[in-house]
Amino acid sequence: MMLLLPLQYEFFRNGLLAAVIVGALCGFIGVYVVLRRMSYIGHGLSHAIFGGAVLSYLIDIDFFFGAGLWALVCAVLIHLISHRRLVGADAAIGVVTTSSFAIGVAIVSTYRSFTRNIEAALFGNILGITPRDLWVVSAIALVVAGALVMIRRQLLFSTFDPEVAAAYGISTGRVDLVFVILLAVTVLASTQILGVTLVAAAIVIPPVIARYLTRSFHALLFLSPLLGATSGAAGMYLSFYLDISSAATIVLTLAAIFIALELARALRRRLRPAALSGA
Amino acid sequence: MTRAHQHLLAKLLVILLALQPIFACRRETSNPPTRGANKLKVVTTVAPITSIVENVAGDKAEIVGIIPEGINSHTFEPIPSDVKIIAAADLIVVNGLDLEIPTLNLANANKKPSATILKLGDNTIKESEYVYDFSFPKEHGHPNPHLWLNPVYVIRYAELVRDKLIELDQKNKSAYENNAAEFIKKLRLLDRAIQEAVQTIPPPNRRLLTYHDSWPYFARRYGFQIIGAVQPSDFSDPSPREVARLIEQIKKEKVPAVFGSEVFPSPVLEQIAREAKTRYIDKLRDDELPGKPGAREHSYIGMMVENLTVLFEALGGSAASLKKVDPAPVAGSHADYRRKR
Amino acid sequence: MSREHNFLKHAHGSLHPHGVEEPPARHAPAPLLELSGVSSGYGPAPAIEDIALKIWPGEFVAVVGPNGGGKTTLLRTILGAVRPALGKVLLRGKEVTGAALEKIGYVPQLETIDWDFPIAVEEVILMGLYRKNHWLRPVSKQDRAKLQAVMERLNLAGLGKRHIRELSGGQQQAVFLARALMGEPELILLDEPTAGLDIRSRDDVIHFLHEINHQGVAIVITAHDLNWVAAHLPWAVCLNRRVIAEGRPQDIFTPEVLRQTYRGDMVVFLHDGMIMIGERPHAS
Repeated sequence: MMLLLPLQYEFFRNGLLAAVIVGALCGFIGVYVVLRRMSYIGHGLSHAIFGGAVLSYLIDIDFFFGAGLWALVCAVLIHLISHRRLVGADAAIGVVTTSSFAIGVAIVSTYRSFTRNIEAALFGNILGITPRDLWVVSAIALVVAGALVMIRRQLLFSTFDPEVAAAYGISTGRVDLVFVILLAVTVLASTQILGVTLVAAAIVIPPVIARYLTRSFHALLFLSPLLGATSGAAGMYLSFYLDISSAATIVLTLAAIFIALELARALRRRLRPAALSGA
Repeated sequence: MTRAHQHLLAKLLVILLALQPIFACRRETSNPPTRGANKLKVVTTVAPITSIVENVAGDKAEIVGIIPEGINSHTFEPIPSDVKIIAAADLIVVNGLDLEIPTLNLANANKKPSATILKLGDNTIKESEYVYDFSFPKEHGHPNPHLWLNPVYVIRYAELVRDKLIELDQKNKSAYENNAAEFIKKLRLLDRAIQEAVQTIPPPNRRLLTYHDSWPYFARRYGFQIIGAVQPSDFSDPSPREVARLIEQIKKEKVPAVFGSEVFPSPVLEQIAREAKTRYIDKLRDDELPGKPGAREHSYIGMMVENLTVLFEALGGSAASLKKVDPAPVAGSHADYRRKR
Repeated sequence: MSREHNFLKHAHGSLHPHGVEEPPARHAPAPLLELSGVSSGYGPAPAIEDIALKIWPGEFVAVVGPNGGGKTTLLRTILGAVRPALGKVLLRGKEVTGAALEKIGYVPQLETIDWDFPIAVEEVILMGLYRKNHWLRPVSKQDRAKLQAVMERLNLAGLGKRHIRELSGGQQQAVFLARALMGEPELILLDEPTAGLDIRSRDDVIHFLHEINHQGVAIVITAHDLNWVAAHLPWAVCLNRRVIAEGRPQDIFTPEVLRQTYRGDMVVFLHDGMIMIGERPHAS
């Protein structure tokens, strides 16, 4: 009964669905993001997309199209710079994404008759999701998940040991590029829902939690999206009953699970020596 | 926007300084004021305040409104060319009540030592009259600053501007007095026209749900009830329970329309309207004037008439009485609104 | 011909002994892999220079030499991961390309593996099939059977679901060897397969390497421990930028060759028919 109550509202149903889809998608791609040590890139890309969002408002084209194109450009730039090996991937991401964010801010401040809501880009819009948003996000989720499944073998190999993967004939450069593009598209869809500031958490926390629970890669690939989706749903419900902003609650739900597991581990470690000495 | 983001934006100002030459050419004023060597230089902030000053000063002062129309005044970040304008000003007129904090900081840092800052809102109402609400909760310490949507407060604004102009520019005393008197007369007319129009709205419909919470002082004067605002204090989205509450309330009270701002399209408010099966009208503007600078309706009164026409007609009333008030600035259009063509 | 005789003959002989008894594999009609005039490396100065080398089908060869002597570069050049600046690498007479690569398996140094990576033994081994498994094709029954066979062959049966970190050093090496075997290669390259292993694990490793070798797979390894090479392997290449010497260990591990290879003094002596190599004591 308690669970059905908020479902009578369309905004809640749409938000719930979007949170589940985005949670699962972020959890899925997050597995590779974390194992490739690219956590920072999710954060960076979401900020980079801000620049694209502003630009697409400015020239009055669709957000998904404009910001999507922009995110792709940023992703390719990051890829190119980090593969030149002159600077590390983290520095490349820093340069590209912060300057992209700055372009957004610059435009907002120069184009003085700027009449759009930048806050929506920064904080997401989970309670105002239109059926069209839902379709776009679902389509993006399907395409990204499908592509990840298609390249799963190359992706796993080049994530696990890139040098050997190259020796086995995998063009690791191309795999990296495809992956960063998929990530950019994921971040784009999620930014619209969760907002620039919270996307990175949705990508990074589920796989980190899942790693506590399994040591098998394939189990990880199921667990992490499951965690993302569940905490998306749980976060929406919690935010309804606790009366807190939804996107933040979703991320806090994930963080709470993470902290609980971390505490449980610490406790077990502390108890174990005692048990041994007692025996 | 959160404080953290304001902070980030502040840091990015450095980058903007570097970009300034690139954009400088685009920022040339589109409506240059007549340059008089010994005219009083007045800088204002949002467009309604600029219009009020323009009404009182006429062509006797050089007026530049530095916050462009349609920009979020709460988070407006001045850029370097604004500093030049502020540094040249003799008088800086702001709404105050913490509306334009970044601009005020910039003014304090860069103004001429002799220049005065006039805070209209702070000198219009007492602390006991401050409204704290959904978008401006008491815990944050910033009262709702949108006094100018109540024409009675604007009369006070006009008097404050008049007195300050006379103090700084004795030789144009009579012009300022005449303009102010004329303007105040119009404001009284506007006030009466509004009261008349409100009577045509069925009393149960005198309820307002807006995106941005800028109507409490208006509501207090004309007997409207503010149901809520969708944009909470941190300028993000409201919680789902709040949204559900608003939907229920609109359904129960059968409010015929809810109002979004042109400046901030709100998918959440749109969704609320859809679910509560009421109209969503995204035409309100609290700091943007209708028409182009120089047009009759491009004024404070023009803005009020247009807003209230939208509002009253959507709530089932008639705005006919408002048409009687002439919106044109009493001494013509002279201010620079720094609006892009 | 006794080993002793042979050693004595060549201990003072030329650096490139000709006419010595060669392992049976060397009598095959054509070499499996042939490098001619190969120079290769990352920077402006090549890490290996003018390498001429033949690997015959079913051969088992150790490449020894100092750190930075180009051992790993040599392996990577054979794999095609580093393109030679000069010269040619031919596999069965054809230049090494993507298609030819299928015949070569590669086992990296265990040190380069991220042991915290959440991955189970069989997940690693199945990577070896990636070339055959296109995206639509799930792991088939035959693949499973092959996986089982390979794991049994390397004494990994029953460990498939374990995390790679939970295995012994020898088993860990076996996992990566198993991955290489999944592609049914004719040649397997192993980079330092005994590095960091205890004696027991080293025994395991050489045991299963020999077994695979007996089944007809050619093996090239890099190694540090000359005594271990001399005790277990039929053929060695001394490498320090160039090929210093090539031949049976007992023939080529001479003080002269080792001095040239390692730029240090070593003593070589025979003990119970086995050659022993050690550093020359300084104080005497």
